[in-house]
Amino acid sequence: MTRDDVGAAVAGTSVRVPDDLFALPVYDLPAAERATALLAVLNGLTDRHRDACVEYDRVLTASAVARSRPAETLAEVPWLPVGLFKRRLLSSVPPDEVLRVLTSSGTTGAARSRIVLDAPTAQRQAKALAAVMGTLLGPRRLPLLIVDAPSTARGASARTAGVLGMLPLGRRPVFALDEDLALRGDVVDEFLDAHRGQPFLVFGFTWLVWTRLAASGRDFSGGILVHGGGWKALADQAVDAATFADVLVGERGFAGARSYYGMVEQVGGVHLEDESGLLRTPAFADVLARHPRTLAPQPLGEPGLLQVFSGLPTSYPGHSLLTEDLGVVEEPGRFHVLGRIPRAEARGCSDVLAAAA
Amino acid sequence: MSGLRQLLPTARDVPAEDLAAYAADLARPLDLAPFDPDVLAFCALLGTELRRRSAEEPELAALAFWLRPAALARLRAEIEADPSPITRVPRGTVFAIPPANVDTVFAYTWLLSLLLGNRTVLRVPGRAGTQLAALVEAIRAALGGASPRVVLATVVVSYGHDDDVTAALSDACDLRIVWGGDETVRRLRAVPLPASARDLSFGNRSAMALLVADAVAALDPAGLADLARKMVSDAYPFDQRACSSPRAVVWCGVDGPRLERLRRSFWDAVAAELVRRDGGGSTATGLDAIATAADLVATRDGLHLDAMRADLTVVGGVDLAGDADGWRRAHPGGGLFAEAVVGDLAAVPELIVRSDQTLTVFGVPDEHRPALVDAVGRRGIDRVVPVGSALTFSRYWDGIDLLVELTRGVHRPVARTPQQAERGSGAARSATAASTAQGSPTLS
Repeated sequence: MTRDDVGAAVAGTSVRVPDDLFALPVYDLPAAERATALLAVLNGLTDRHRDACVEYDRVLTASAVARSRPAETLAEVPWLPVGLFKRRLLSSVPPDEVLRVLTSSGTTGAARSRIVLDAPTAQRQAKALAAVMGTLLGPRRLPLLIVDAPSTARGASARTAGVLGMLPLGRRPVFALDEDLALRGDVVDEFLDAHRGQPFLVFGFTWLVWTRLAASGRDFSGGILVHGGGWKALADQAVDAATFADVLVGERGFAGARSYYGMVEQVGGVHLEDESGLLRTPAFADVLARHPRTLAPQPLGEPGLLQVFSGLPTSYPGHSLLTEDLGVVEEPGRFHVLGRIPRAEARGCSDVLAAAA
Repeated sequence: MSGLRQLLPTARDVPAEDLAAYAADLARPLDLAPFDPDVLAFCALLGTELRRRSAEEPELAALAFWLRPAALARLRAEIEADPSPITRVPRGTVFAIPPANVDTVFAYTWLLSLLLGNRTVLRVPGRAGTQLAALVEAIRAALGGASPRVVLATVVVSYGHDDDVTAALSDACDLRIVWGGDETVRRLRAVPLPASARDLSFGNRSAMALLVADAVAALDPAGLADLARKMVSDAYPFDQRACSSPRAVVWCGVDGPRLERLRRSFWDAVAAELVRRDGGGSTATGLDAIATAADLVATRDGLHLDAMRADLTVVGGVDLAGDADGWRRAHPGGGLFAEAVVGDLAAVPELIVRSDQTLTVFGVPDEHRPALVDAVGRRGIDRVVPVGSALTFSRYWDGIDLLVELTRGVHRPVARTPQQAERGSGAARSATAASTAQGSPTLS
């Protein structure tokens, strides 16, 4: 598409449904045009999910969200609290169209989110990942080392979603860990011997990458590391992003390390770190920060609760979610994540809390 | 079976094999009398220590206020004025298992127990919260200046879920007090207790506020702000998780547009008070509240959801009667309120279920209170108090008199004089006349 075509596509009526968003450049569209395009799709999704998911319609009706008035800004798009998916299965497709139900990797005892995928939505997730990673890796498929166990690819968790998403992007993928999540030294050595010095891709969850690779003593020269899943587990060990980079790039020899932010609750929300260290929203997704008490939209540069948008999910109403993460939107399309909001110790007389005590 | 960790009066570990002997020691009677001067002196010291720590833990200030000398003197006077033919003596050894992190509940009970001359053994969970830690520190500091007789009277222990340890400690007690959800109470009550000991349990309770529309409408802005301040004082401490934290608001005597205006100005005032306090509670709990509210409104039509702030979410149209919408069961705290509407006071009792404990009220005319109290009391309510007093501790709790439970009443019928004995053997016909004429205490 030429730039003019894109402009016409956006300004006109042709960006309406999720798949239209893939026609747009992943990152380079001017902010105003991005917003217009995404908003059109989000409004369409709000209506679509109200028609298809009676529980979603009830929440919006109870919240006095009028069908006749589409949102004019991102901040006006109705949102669901991400915790709702831990309490209730929300589906916008009939049972026979359900391909897979993803679950979040919750802490033991805590409820897990359940996310309904049909084939089209799962395909869009794969396309989204390919589009975003393509900006980093180029069109080639690189040799791929996955810092996880083979069985993860067969599960239903957030790690599964990540792994399955990355598999098609790589060439002859190899799993670096065994079923006990221990490093398979021989496998890794064989991979590195074959590919060291030329571009290859290493993917995994941040805490697995840190705990299995950082101290492995191996040389990953030429490798591009993509990792996600949050810094919380590492924060407990006093490892921050700078330390992570020092070791993995400085000591282990990676050519580059990029984190990404996303969650199982939002298909299409793939926000990859850019060279400056900020996360970038792709054309089909966006973020907004809200004041942690008033919930009013925060000005740029002010920390707040992150609300995440994605123009891709049609199988479940996950296009506009208020998360439990704090972050700062520095400029349109660029943000960083501070971490999960703190959870105070449980209080009160209930049995659930007593069990946790 | 594992052992336990003693936190007070001194920190020490008690291994499993020493538990039986440890418990036997706890069973030995103290020689404290109700309102013993040494105990009162300790309370004065404790008040100072609590106030010293109340900047970081505001709820400790309320505790310090409760045990100020004038209040304790009043309490003592209440007991001593009791005309029953009973001499109150300590119950003996009290074993208390308080709820998670509503620490002041255990503190008041422990204080009452101490004032009445008991040895109190308190079990706290393995992971103590900051409020509990501050409280234990305050007690430890005050014990430093207390008489040895008082030091022995307070034992705080910590251990994980171990019914065998609970059994060993239960063996030593005369009264066991358990707080918790219904399942916890069921489980702990199943742990054996000596034949001479009693169980006192406080299961899941809930609370709501009743606002008479006319009275709220008549408030000027200052008055409304004051009502909002009291509502926030009732509902927000402990992240709205205490049994007495109001989780519903019932409007009485209004509907339609007038209700809409009234509720809007009321909740706006509550939000303004939350802004003024700059700290309604944890954002995480507030998000749980919104998710719970969204989950409820997803189940059926006819509900309204107003997520005004992370710490203020109101759900209108909730069916509280018989807990039909499960409101009480699923409540996570975090500034979440159900709203219900009744036409008049006579309709209020229908909304009450057995687990409701506290009804805070505003605007109920004096002449209607007795009937209301009786009607809601029969359905389950154990206390009817003004908005603003939901969390005020009292000897009357959950429909019982803690003063009675924490003591034993030694029955000592008043002796007859020889003349009374003679007349009494005559016939009942002159008994009333005789006792009235003599002005003597009734024989029991």
